[in-house]
Amino acid sequence: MKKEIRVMLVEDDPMAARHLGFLVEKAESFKMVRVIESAMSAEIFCLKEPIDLVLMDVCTAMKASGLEAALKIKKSVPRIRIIILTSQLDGSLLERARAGGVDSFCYKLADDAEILDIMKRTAEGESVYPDAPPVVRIGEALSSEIDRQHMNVLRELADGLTDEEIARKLNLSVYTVKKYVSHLLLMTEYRNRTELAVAAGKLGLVTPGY
Amino acid sequence: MRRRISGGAVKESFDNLPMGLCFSLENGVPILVNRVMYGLCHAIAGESPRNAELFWQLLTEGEPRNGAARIVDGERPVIRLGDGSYRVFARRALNVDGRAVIQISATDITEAYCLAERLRKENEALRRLGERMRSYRENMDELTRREEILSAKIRIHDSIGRTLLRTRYALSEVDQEAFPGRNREEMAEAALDAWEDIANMLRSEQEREMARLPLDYIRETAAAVDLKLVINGPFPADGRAAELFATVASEAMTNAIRHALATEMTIEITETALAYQARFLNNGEPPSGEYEEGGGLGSIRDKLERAGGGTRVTVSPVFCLTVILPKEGTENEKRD
Repeated sequence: MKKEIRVMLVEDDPMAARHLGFLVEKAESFKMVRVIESAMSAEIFCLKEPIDLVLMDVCTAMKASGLEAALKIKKSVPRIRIIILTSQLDGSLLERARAGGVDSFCYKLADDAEILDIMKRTAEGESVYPDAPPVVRIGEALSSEIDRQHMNVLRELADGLTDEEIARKLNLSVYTVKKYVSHLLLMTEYRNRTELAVAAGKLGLVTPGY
Repeated sequence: MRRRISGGAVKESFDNLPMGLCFSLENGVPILVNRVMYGLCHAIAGESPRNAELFWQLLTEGEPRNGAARIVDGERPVIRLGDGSYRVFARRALNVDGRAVIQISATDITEAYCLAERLRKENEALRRLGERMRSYRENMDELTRREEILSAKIRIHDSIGRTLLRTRYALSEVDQEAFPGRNREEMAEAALDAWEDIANMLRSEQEREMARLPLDYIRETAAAVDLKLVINGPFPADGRAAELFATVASEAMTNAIRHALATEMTIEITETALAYQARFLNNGEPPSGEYEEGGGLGSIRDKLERAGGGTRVTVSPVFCLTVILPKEGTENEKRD
């Protein structure tokens, strides 16, 4: 008899949780054993319960980062397979997940069949990652046109840091930060940095704090 | 050819210098005052320079007249004149042929000062903008949730519409013709499934409305992993403090189980007008050897420090994590 894969879902949106719950229950060889809203208790359940696969959202209840929790679980219980399942398009999440040994990564835009396929392949030991986040339009620019350094500045800007604070954090000069912000405004054609930061946050292009 | 420069020519050049200059004896009696300084003296003291030491006292400690005001105190006072221009003054003791001479100079810094002031105002505006962004980000999760609820309601509405149609087909003899090959029972079964899905979605919405507090969440987690949780003192009801304490409690529970094989954890909370303090203790084995902070506690320390708080760990006689968090709006609260 084929072994049943025991799944834990970390998802704070009840609609999404319910939907993924249906998906897992209808699929052969998967069994949903726990659903939690916040990633802050994900590790403790992984330590205490027989879980084989974790479907992990990034922005979870209590402002807990699913990615941080996934990295901790991969260290404390490395046998557990983890899939990051997110609607956030921040490319740094992809990089951090890969660097931290998270097994797979999937955007919520994927259809049910695709999510199930990634679950099966991940459970079988495969690592499935998209090449890059989906491209979205931010103002008059495409997200793919914004390079890593500009994206880093945009992330801190959306977190409410001043130019001086961004410069200190990213080890850049204040002049360079100002130049990057100007470039971003020029590319997107937003009127000011507030519009730019709000748009970036709403699109999920940057996820400060997660 | 020997060039002779008359005293008058020297005085004229001295007068035409863009900076104000005044040379005096130690007792303040002026020796030489140029035109610019003469004008400044009138603009600030309301009189001709009769005693340089008294003028310096006025610049550094007194109350300038004619709408002038001291903007910067100290050894290099900055005075804003009645016309809105700025001068920085300096005083130096010189030795001229063995005689002590005091030099007071005044430099026009209007342009530089205005630029610096503009920069300061811009930085202040950016700082305020940063605060607004921070506040926006803190509310972003809630906004996102609300948007998701709205889209969920739209989905439910659409789903109900489709299912009503399907039910009507299932119940109507006439519409059977529209679905050749499917019998009435199959259509009714599909309609029932669809209604069940809608009921589930609506139940999810109801669950969302009944969102739990951070304290409920950690109590449920502790119960689910068979860890007895004892809380002494007032656990913050809601907001940032409640979320941060729940995060710390969750990490402490994880560590208590992973490292100490504990079966019980105690949280002792005290509250003052300015801050919360919480001690997290467990009944497991204290760490043997030197304690090293792991990634989880490091991350918590960062979060608390960003909020103006801090952590302390003691390992003897039992492992104890102490957390201090200033209340929101208090002076100790840090604006990172």
